[in-house]
Amino acid sequence: MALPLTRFKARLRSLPPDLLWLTAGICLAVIPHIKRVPVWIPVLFFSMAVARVFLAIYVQRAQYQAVSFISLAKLLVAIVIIIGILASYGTLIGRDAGVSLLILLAGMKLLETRQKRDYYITCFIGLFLILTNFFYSETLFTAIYSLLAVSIFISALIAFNDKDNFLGSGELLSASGLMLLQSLPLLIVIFLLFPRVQGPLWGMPNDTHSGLSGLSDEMSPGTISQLILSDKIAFRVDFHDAMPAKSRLYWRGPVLWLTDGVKWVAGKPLPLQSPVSWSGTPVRYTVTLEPTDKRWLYGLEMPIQAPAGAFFSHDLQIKTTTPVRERRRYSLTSYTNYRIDTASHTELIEALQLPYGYHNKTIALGSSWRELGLSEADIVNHALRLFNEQAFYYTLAPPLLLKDSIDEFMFETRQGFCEHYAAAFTILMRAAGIPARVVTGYQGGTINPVDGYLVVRQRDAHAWTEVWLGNRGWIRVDPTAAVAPARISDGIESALPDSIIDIPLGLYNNAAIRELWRQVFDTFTAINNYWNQWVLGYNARQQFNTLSRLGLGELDWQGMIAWLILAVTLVFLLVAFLLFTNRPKHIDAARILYDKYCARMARLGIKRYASEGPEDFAKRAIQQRSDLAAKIREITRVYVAIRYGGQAESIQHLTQQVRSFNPSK
Amino acid sequence: MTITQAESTTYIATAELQHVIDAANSIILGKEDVLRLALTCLIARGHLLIEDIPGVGKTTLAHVLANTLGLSFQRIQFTSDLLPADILGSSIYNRQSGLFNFHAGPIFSQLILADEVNRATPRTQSALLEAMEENQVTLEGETRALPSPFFVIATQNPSNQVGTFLLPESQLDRFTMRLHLGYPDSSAERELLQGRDRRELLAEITPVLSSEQLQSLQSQAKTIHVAGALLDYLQDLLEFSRVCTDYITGLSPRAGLAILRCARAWALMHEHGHVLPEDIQAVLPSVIGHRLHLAQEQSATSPTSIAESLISQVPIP
Repeated sequence: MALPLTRFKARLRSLPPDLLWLTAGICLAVIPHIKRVPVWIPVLFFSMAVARVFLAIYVQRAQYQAVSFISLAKLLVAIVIIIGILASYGTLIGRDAGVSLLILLAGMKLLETRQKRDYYITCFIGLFLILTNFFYSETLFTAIYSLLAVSIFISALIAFNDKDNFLGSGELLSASGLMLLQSLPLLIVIFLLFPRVQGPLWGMPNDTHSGLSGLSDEMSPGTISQLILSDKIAFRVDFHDAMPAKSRLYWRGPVLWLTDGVKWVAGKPLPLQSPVSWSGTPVRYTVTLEPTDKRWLYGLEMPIQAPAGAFFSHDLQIKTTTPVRERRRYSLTSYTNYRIDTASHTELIEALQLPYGYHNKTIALGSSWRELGLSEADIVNHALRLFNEQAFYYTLAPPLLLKDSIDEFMFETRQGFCEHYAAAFTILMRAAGIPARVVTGYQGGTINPVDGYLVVRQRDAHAWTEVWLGNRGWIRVDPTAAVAPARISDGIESALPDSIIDIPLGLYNNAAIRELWRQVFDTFTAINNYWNQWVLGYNARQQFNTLSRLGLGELDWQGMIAWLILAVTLVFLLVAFLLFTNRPKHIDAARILYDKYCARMARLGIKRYASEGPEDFAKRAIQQRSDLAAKIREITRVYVAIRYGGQAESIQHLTQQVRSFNPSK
Repeated sequence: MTITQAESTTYIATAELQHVIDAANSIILGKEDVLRLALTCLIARGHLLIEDIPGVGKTTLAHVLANTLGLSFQRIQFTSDLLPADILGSSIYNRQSGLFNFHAGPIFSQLILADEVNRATPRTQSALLEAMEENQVTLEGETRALPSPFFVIATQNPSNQVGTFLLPESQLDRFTMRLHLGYPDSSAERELLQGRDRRELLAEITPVLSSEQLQSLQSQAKTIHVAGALLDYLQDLLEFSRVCTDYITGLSPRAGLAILRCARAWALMHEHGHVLPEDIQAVLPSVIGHRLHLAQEQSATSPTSIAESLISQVPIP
């Protein structure tokens, strides 16, 4: 029984280290992709990697070369992979499908790595896989992680060229780290001088936008306040007529009907659109929407007609058939005075839905108003007065609500953002028997004085409510306005406190932790900001400024290329100069091993003097540690034979001797 | 095949040399290290200078070596009135044949003991030293080869004694090694005082080695392997002696060659098969002691301490 296990262990030790490094590198390159691709892809990949290592354990390298993979089998696997990817994505092209294909092909290539050529190809596929991580994330963390993975690949390349397995893992890593450090001057030169193009250098595939920030068709406490941190532009509006008052600029997005007590989602799609009647003056305008990857457009409440390629849903949201993945321009006409007089029976029932087992106190409060016999309008006003007169605060960093967000908000914390107010208000109305729904979208926007466009940013995201008052139809009620009127009249900036800090789970009450978190957060923000400003944000304009400050004058891209070539040449010349002048006398493998042995002896307190010959040292060492005599004699004998005897003692023997020489005090 | 042969001959050589040392050791008590170095010098085809006060056994050492190695031996007592012809020999008119016949001087033997070489005039000294260097003597237009092996042991009184002509540095350089005998230690001295007369013992010694065997040892020493790493070390030593400002002049290339030859002979004697840094370190004090001088003469600078400071300052590459 024990025999196969010992054999397994022995073989494990004799595994070629270069293969292990290569496998580790490729796995590192794939790990960040695990959550980005369908689950079967990493599973298949990792099983191929594990299979390769096991094959290496049981089949020696020479035999492995002889094992000829049947090309038909390879072809079959490739076809299966292609079909699988086609089934998952519907295409082979594009970012996600391409990356998936690359991951699986890297796994296959790893599996058939037999010769030098395969080895190098696998290395370069792995390096390219690392690069694909930047399609998804350009954060500092990704950069550091990629650097680590690259150093593993360099170690793999060194290990592959180290035929005698002479270097240990630490030495390989430090060698590759040294190489990366040595490339630093080139990195700086190329970073500074490589011409930056205005706009993307190559077209990114369509699915790149899946990570875009923006409103979604779900709402839970925190979803909108996260958006407020973003300065990104949601859309721009060019008004053809006079712009309505700021307090009327409600840009309608997803309408949310259903709640499970935690989050709010859209209702069932209904076929019939509520008829709308308009009055007053029309407002004509053109919207330029930034890509959202979502299937809806935004319009000022209330547009009279959906633009081409879009349609109204029953709750008057402008929907599109395909996700908006490119900048989209559309013209609309809206009336800010409107009435939605009719509602279907299904709608009214949906608009009274309450989550089971949640918000009990809030619901009790709402139903108590109804029992008081107040009219519907009075109930609405009652609720608004409650928000206005009691100690409710409008804040972007509300205390965390753990169990029942609305009850805790209503009766304990009383600090919240628009989504808290909208949700709580809707629950109150529904409890009082008034049909109500949450509407999300944007509110306000800022006029750019240069071109006169109204710019609506992510931080203008907002949530409000609509209630059904039998005689007046669906009426917009914005409970946030009752708490923070400035939010509506003057915009988001005026309504927010100065400092905006996220505080994670449950730590809010501990002052020390809060302060620590604040410092960590600030530091992290600062580092990230530097990264964004100086690395990601190093665009054509910054490059121009930097180069001018360096005294290179106003450079066009030809000039930059010329300087780039000059600088790279200078760097290489410097490297060549250092290489040829500072050349060490010799790099003797036996000597390096002997030094390692001496270092181990020094750890025992027996230090070799620089001018002490190997035999003398051995004599002295044996005097102190007679228990190690045999080992010391053998290492000294082999070393002396190789270094001074010019004999054909194998360096591998010395390597083994020194490796296994690990005495303890 | 070849390696085993070389190894076996080396082994035999070592055994023979040990016999020589044992024999010599029985007469010159407690000086085995000096004997080894003297033999090393002999195998390295070098000449030996023994510097010490009178009466410590310089002459006896030369006698012992000559007797144990079975070499023809001549002793030349150097005095201030000694002439070159007294060493080299001269042509004397033969009345019967009417020709000049060459009468070989004492230099035409395999082992010469040049006793108190610094008492002779420089003119006579250089006659000897030229012969040592060239291994031949040119007299009256005729070149005569000296016997082989040819080995000179010169003894010298410390230079501060009365009536001495200091050997110039250029001539000191021709001696491969300079050795000091020194006083015997107490146990050796007691044995010496209790034992038989040294002169009687000397007469009893029979040769242990033939001169052919000695010559074969000399040629074996030439073939001892010297690795590049060892030459690196030797060059580092030479370079350091030239660069370091502690010394008046650095070591000459001749010194470098002498070190290497002696190190080879030492390695042969110690069965090393190839020259080790330790071999160089072993012979270094005797080889460089009379060649390397400190710029600031310190009070107690024995050749050993000069060599030791050199060794300790040059790391083995």
